[in-house]
Amino acid sequence: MTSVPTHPGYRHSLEDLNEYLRTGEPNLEPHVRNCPRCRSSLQGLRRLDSLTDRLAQDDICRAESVGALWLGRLVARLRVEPRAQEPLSIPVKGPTPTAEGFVLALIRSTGDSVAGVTIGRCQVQGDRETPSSGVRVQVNLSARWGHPLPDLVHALRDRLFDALTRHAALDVDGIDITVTDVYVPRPQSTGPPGQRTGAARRDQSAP
Amino acid sequence: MDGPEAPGSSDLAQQTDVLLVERAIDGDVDAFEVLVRRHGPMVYAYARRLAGAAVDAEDITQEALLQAWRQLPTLRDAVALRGWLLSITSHCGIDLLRRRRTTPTPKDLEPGTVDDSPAPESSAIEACLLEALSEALHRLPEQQRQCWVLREIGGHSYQEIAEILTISIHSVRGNLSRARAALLREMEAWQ
Repeated sequence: MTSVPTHPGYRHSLEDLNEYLRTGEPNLEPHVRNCPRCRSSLQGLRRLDSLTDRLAQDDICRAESVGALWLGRLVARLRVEPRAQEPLSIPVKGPTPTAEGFVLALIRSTGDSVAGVTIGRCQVQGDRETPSSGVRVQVNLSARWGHPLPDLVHALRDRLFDALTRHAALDVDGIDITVTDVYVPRPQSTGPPGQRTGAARRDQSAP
Repeated sequence: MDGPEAPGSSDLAQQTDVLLVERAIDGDVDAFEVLVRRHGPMVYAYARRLAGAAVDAEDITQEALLQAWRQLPTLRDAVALRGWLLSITSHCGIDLLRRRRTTPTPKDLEPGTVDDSPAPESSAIEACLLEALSEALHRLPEQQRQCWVLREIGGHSYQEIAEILTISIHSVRGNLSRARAALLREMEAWQ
């Protein structure tokens, strides 16, 4: 677009005008300002853009009203087709290796059972080559607004230590807990959450 | 999951996409279910425009969300989840449609009979305009419609569209140009 015709009767291609709409192509500016035909085409393009956005939103609204049933069927299918998990084992006190997926699921279910806690990412680190060596657990959590964080962290650490020792036969050296988010409870909905504090607080200690 | 006395798990639906993606990567199907319910309608709506037929759209959505579950560990930035889901849907959708086009397929539903009534929040005029655009899209030749939907709803670049549809960029440009001109022509009649 090095040479741009500027005489009033010239009509730019829709492609040119569409590009102008998206990038503000400066070379077209003087012509477009004075050319009624191009201005009319631009108006049409803007209208088409806006209508397309509204159509896409409208489609989603319709899909929300009819999708619940078969989305449920899809999730049921996922439950019988879990993602292949790394079969590696982590050090345990006894002779039975423990799958990492099991330990992570145990951390999630134990953590979620503490009122005000929703577990996020968690990791178990240990020397996999040395049976019966200790592990260190790192857990992120999202806390419900209104629960004192020190109490939450304390209760979570106690519960996790107990569950990992008892049910997974792990020798737990330490549990590092990071509060990554605080959320304000809303009425039941699957929509994306609203108010957040974005606060992050890290707390490390041995059990 | 909605049990009133299960304080932790009942809060799953209130968590961010980022946290849910992290849990789903760790193998938590419950977290993925929340994501599916949150974004599944968007995937379906997009698939429906891409396919032009509801029967294909449901299959595309199922396949896309299954692929998403399998490929979740490769998602680098959970903030970009929506775009990532649309991209998977584009690939799954075109693949599935290509496989089906080689065998006899159920005829696409006629425009105007695909959806029932307008979404309740739409005004009557708005609903008419959206219906008119919907029908105009339906009347486009398949490849033009797909190019247009991939670009304008899926947000793909010309290069990406060329790769997804295995056609040249020149062809993508031509299809988009013709689709845009046709839609604008039809729109002029709705003034």
